[in-house]
Amino acid sequence: MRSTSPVSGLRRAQLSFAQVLGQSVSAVAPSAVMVTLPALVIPAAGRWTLAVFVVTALLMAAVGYCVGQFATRMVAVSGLYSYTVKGLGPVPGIVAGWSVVIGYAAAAMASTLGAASYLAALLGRLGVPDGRPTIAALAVLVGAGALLLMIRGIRLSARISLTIEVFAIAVAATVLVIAFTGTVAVAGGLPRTAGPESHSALGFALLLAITSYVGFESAGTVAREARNPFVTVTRAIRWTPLALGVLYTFAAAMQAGGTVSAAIGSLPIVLTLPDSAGTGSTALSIVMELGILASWFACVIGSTTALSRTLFAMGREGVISERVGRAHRVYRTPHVALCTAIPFIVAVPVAYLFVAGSSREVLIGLLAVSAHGYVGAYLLVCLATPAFLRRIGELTVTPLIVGLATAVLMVAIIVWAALTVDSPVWIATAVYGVLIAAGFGAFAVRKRVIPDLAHRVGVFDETVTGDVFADYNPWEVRR
Amino acid sequence: MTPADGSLSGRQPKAVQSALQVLEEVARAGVGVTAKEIAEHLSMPSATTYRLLNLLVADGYVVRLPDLSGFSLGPRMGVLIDAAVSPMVCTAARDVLADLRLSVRFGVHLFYLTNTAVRIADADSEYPPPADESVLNRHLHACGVGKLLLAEKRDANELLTLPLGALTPRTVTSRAALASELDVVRDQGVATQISELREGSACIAVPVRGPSGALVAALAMSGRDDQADLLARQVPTLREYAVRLSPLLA
Repeated sequence: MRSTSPVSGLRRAQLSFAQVLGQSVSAVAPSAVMVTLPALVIPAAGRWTLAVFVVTALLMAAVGYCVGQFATRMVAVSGLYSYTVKGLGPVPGIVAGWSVVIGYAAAAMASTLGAASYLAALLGRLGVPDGRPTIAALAVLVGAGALLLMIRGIRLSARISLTIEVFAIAVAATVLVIAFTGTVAVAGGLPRTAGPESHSALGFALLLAITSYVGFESAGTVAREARNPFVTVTRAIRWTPLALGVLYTFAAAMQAGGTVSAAIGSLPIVLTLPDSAGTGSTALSIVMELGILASWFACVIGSTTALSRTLFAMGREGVISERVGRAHRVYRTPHVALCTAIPFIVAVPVAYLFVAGSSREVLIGLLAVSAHGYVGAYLLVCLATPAFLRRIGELTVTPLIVGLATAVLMVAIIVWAALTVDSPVWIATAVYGVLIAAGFGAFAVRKRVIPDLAHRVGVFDETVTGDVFADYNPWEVRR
Repeated sequence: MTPADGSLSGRQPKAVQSALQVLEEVARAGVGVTAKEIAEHLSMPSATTYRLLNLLVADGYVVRLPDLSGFSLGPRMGVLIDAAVSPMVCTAARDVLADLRLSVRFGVHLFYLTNTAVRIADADSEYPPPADESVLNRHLHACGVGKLLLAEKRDANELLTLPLGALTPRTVTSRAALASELDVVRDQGVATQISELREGSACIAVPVRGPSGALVAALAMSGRDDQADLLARQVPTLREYAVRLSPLLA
């Protein structure tokens, strides 16, 4: 047994339950999803839209149950990565590890671009020229701001992202209610987009709805820094999917009943309020844009926090450079991992934007790659659950059935989606495949330097000698 | 740990009894016992045992070993163990204390320190200490001995109930001020209180360390607050006696 934790350096007991929950919720960016996704799912799912959101909420709750089996048993810093290693061993673990890295990184990239685009749109109303150079400059600003907050301390960044996420959800809910129940929506007079002929894309709609929940497991990456982590992290991971399911079903119900003009134009993949509604809707649009901006910014912080902890763990293991596994002496945050990640998180979407031309295309591309990472990791962690419990001798019937059934269902949905989708996302699949292969390449290279690397992966905040009460002398002070 | 669970009204005696049985079994079986073994020994349904173990782990009464399958007693058990032991002072140490008491006109007290608390081992009967043991332990930040204990801890907040309670207007209640005071205590190896614990009292305390350097006890002197300067002059004497006590206590 070690005398110091392999992930020492990160400060313990920093986050309350609300902040741990905030980490999970902000990594999902639910308010951006609330106003975006139903508009994409409704055409594909038609009258099954509500059912799609309910079913995916239950499916993600099942994934949450599986992740919870690990969260009650180990204090992780790299979430699904260390969980999968403990269940299925190093090789599937590495796949899960790079999958979550891809998932978090691409989500952070998309959010940075989203935040920069909405900031540009808001500034555009003040007369600042809108365009790619503006967006690029604002993306740098967003990245730098988020980096400063995250290095300064997890408590500060968690508090800020929780606050702005609550604001964003409140705004999104209010705007949806006003836009789809009040007179504003009627003015547009657009026909309902849901046509009976599009029901064949139900599988794709399910997969799309799944991607609206991804990120909820990221509380697992801040367990070391949470107060009472066995309780708070597990609770956050179990309840987030259900709470999100309620929000999404509400948002879908509001939008399915009203008029929806789906994402048009260069900037928003978010519903555009009908222009003919007059000044009322302009004010509403501004509030809406502020809300979405807040949500994207919270998502930059949420995703990058999760990404940096995962990279930090990989650095400690030696899977990547050991320098990344260093923590700041004063602020006790993984500052090297953060400083390494943020330039990529800003540069990739900006470069992509200059190549592709439209923010919408970049956002969809990045989110598609990100979704591949998340779904891959979810699949592995569901399979890892019964294997892990069996290995430690604590397997019971429920986790066995839930783990296997969830994995089978997810595979079925992926296959169904691949068969029914009109415009397949093969490019994203290929990018994901190449990145995973590159990850394996890096692992093979590092393995030559560190021969026992396969045994070193999967670090977590394990029990140290000072925590074990054997040979205990009551008459002395332990440090 | 979770006072929010207000629905629990002590009406699940079976669950509480089972949890305590599991705890007892972990203690009896020793380091590394697995969940399955515990369930077998207690003839308890395995799902129930695993759930109870996870609850005990979450609250720190039990810890999971790094292999994730074995269990052992955890840090929260220390509080129970510490409360059950009673301090015993050997005759030789009592003689040393009597020696010191003859030479000064202050109260001379010996405290033992556990991992989480201070315990009065030998108090001066002529000049009693300014507060009793339970007051000291609830206000470790207000007494000299308590400050020695806090300064020894890597994370002093573990032992403090926040917000810091004030016994007198001079009690240090700001966490930042306390942290900087504890730095000084750590640095100089002596802790004081002047009218922080009780109006008009003053104390000074030095650590008694075992051969490995572990803090095992504290030697303290108490007087009136206007005698604080005189008390401060006693530090070399106290240190000398602490060195004499060390081999007798650890």
